[in-house]
Amino acid sequence: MYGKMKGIIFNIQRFSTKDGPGIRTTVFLKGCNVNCAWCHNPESIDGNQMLRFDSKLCISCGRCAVACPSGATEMVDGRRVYYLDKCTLCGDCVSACGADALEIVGENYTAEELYNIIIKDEDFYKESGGGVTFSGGEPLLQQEFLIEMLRLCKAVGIHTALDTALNIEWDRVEAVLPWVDLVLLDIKGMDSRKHFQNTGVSNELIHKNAVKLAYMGVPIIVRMPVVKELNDSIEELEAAADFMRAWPNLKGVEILPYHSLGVDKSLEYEALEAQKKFKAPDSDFIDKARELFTASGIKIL
Amino acid sequence: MLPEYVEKSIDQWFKKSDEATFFERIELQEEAVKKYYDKPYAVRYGKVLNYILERMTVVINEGEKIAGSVKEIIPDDEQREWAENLSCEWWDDVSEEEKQRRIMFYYSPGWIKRRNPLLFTFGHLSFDWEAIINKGLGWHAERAQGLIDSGEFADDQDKIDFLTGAVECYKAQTVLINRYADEAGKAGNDALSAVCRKIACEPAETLYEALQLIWFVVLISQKVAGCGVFCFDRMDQYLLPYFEKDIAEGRLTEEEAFGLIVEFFNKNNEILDHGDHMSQESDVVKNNLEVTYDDPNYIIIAGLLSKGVSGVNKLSHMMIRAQHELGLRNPFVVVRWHEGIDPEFWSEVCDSMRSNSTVVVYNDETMIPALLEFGIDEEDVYGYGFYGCNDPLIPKKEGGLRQLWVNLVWPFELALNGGSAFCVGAGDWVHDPSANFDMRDRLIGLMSGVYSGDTEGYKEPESMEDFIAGYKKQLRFLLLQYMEKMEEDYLKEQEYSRGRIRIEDLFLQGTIENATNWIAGGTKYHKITMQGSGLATAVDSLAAIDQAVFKEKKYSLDEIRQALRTDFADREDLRIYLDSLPKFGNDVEEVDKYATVVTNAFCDVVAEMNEKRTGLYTYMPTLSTDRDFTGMGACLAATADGRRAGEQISENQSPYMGADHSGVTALLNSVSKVPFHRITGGPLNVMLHPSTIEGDDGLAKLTALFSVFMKRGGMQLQLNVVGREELLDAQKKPEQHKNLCVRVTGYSAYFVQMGKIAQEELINRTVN
Repeated sequence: MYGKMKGIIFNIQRFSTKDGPGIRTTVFLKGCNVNCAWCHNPESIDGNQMLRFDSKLCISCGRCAVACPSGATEMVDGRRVYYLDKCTLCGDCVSACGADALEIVGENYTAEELYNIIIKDEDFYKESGGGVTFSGGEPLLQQEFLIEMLRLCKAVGIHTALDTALNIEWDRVEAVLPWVDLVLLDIKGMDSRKHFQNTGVSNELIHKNAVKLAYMGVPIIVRMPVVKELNDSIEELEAAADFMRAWPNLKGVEILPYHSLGVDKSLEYEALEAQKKFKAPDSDFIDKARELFTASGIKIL
Repeated sequence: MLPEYVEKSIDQWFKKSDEATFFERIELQEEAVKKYYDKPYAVRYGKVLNYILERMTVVINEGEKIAGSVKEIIPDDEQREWAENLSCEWWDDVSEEEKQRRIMFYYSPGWIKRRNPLLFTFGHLSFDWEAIINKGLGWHAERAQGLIDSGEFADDQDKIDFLTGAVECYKAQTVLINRYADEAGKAGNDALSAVCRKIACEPAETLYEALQLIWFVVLISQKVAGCGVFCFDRMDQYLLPYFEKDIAEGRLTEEEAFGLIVEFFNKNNEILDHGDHMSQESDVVKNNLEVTYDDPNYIIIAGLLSKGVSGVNKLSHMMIRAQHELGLRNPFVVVRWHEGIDPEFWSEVCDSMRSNSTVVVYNDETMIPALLEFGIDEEDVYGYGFYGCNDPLIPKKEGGLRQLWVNLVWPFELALNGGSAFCVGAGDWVHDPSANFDMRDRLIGLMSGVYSGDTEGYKEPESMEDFIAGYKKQLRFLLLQYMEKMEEDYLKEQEYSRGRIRIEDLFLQGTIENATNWIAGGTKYHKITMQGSGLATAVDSLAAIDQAVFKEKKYSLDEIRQALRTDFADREDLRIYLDSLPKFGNDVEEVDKYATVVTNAFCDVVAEMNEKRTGLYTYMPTLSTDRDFTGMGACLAATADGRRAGEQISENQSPYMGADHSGVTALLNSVSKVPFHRITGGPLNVMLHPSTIEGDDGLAKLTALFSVFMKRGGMQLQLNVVGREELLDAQKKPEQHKNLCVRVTGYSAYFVQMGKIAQEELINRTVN
């Protein structure tokens, strides 16, 4: 049944202005197979729905325990206790919570439902040369749903972008390309040892796929998240420039300096503390990068 | 680049004391009022004005081209006490009934007390600026004198007095301008001296002369006579012939023209005092002794001249650039958008808005049909403009502001309770419709206190259609009741105002010709703006009833009624549920459709009032709250959107505070579903984070965003580009953010000069 396939989404951002040209709707698909140390949305990594609890907001009113039909939440000594194995993710505790401390992360959408949201901003896409961007997580992990979405959007002429880390079998990449107008390719480092340390995965497959992608005729924008002392060396930049220099469809490179602005303030203490050790690269880094990439004929966006 | 004089003037303005006062005015006015007490009213008015203008200090600042300033001092304790006592003498023994007969309408007791009963005006209008510069003051005086001499009004002493007073007033203005010519001459500034000498009586022939003449009239009308909140009408249109002639004859370069415009704009800011008049909690506002002190003056640019003919010209571009470079709170520039507007100009407008300059956009495509529906003739409609706060007008053809803030949430409460209100303070039901629209509420144009409705024939609603019918019935009941009371008031005011004059009567169309002030019917148009307030609160509440009672059948109407009556005591679960339902501003059709229901119900009643009216006044619906949305919530019980008793209602056309969380496109889609082709004004505040629209690319996106909103039938847009973090920082370190200028409702303010409550309100708006 067309449009009935389901995907799991953890956020839909309308008037997105940083994920490709024009005014866009960015759809964040849940589930990722790269585990970047600096990730701002750790909940996006797990591909399933989950219940998020923010202890800082909790007022210990106990309404969640009253609302829970499956005994997954109870109050013990005035504190909320949660049994993961009993939880059915029905969401009753979320609606009952008077302090916005509970949230179901990840929502199931049929392709049709998601399309109906995307299409609402069609006028804005047309006026600005924008469209839709599928990001994540790693959107290719929900490949069939993704293809269905891309086809629905292309059928009415909406520009489509795919934000991917390419850490996946090539045939799964290749299968979606006919409906993709632009690839936003995340390159998180050239040095394979550091890449492994920073993301938990090797970059060998990513690089192989990137080279194949470069010759598929789809325009590419490379996005490089840069964190001070993790991947901000000149050697990294030089290697990246060498790597991409010859790509015929490379529109340019975006450097994304680490910033703490998007860090979800509701993260638990440990996760918030962990974020604090990351810093933006030095202020002249972008200039250095621009100089270096420009010398290789690559545009910095 | 701004002219050096302007840079210096802005710098000095920020440094000036909060207490700086044009004290001479109070002293001279008091002397004059005593001296001429035995003259007929209008003649006395002219004599008093003349007395002040003959004596007030002529101030010419070094380096300025356009002159006209007042001398300010910081009053000592004795002076302040004397001035405070004066207002007690004027007003303390005047009953509310008598105040209403004399002045009809005012902001607040604080506002009225600085005003001598003689020199009284509420302002909020547009002079015939074109006639002032094209014909000159001398022509105006001669015309009035000619009407006296013609004998046409010989048998009506009130009219003769009115015209005699007018002649005195025109001549008094000539006196002041001539004194400027003398002073400039003495100071060796021959150019300024020659300009002043000429325009003291004669028409302007150059851009410089035109702006200088307008400025003198503004200075006198606002700082001396207290006629605040001007609309300058379509300045890019009526100044264009002067500009083109200057350029053609080689008198002026475009850069010099720009310099003059910048100086003129800055003059408007220069005469402002610090503070924010709607932040009544702040001392700066309480202690101010001026008659006008932070009133915005509106300049209208661009827009259609007639069907399919755009008014965008070189001066429109220049005025946007001036506004962009100045970044001041006054003047307030209104750009009239229309289909096919010059894209380059439109992009400049958006760029200027992005830099937080005081520029707002209105849509001709919705405004023109709305004005036509509510009584404006085809021949006048293309000339429409605005004054603060976002009220429409037909410049020069109507007098000052008369308004009612229509609390659109009351009919909801009354519909739910069968016509009675639940009085939060008293803890009981109230039913006393005769107490509605008491004298005080009519005077300040606000539905304060508790309102009762129509209890006749009440039946418990069985469907959403029934409930909506109840909403409409209560709304209609309230507004027709208002009309009846107001029509009586206006008759009394008209009777009182016979033979009297206000400064604006000098420069409106119809007043002098008919020897009748505008209040008594001299002008073509008279209107009362019906400011629909709390749209989103009403919409969300109706949608919640529909969802909870009729669709989901989760709660009965009575269960909700009881919970709202007790302000959700023991029913927090119900409040959380209601709060979690979808809200206006998120592009959800089931909710947004009630924006159409509420707006149409409102417009239908206003249209009915226009059919039934017997007096001079027509009624025009807007969607606007100014900053009164907090006060308007105070007496309302809890509502079905989950709002608690006494909390604020929604602001202007915005979703309820913080309820829009689906992005700015969703917000604009929701709002554009309102049938604005029936609504004649009111603001939509949009807040964007600077990072979302930075760079050339960001500007293109912003321009596209606003274009789509206008094409989809949005009416108005005003933008603040600022992050929460910057506002919080400004609260902590005001000295580092002194020029952070934000759009509040119908006016801009410097954030750090706003009261704490107003600051918090802005911080809590959703930043997209």
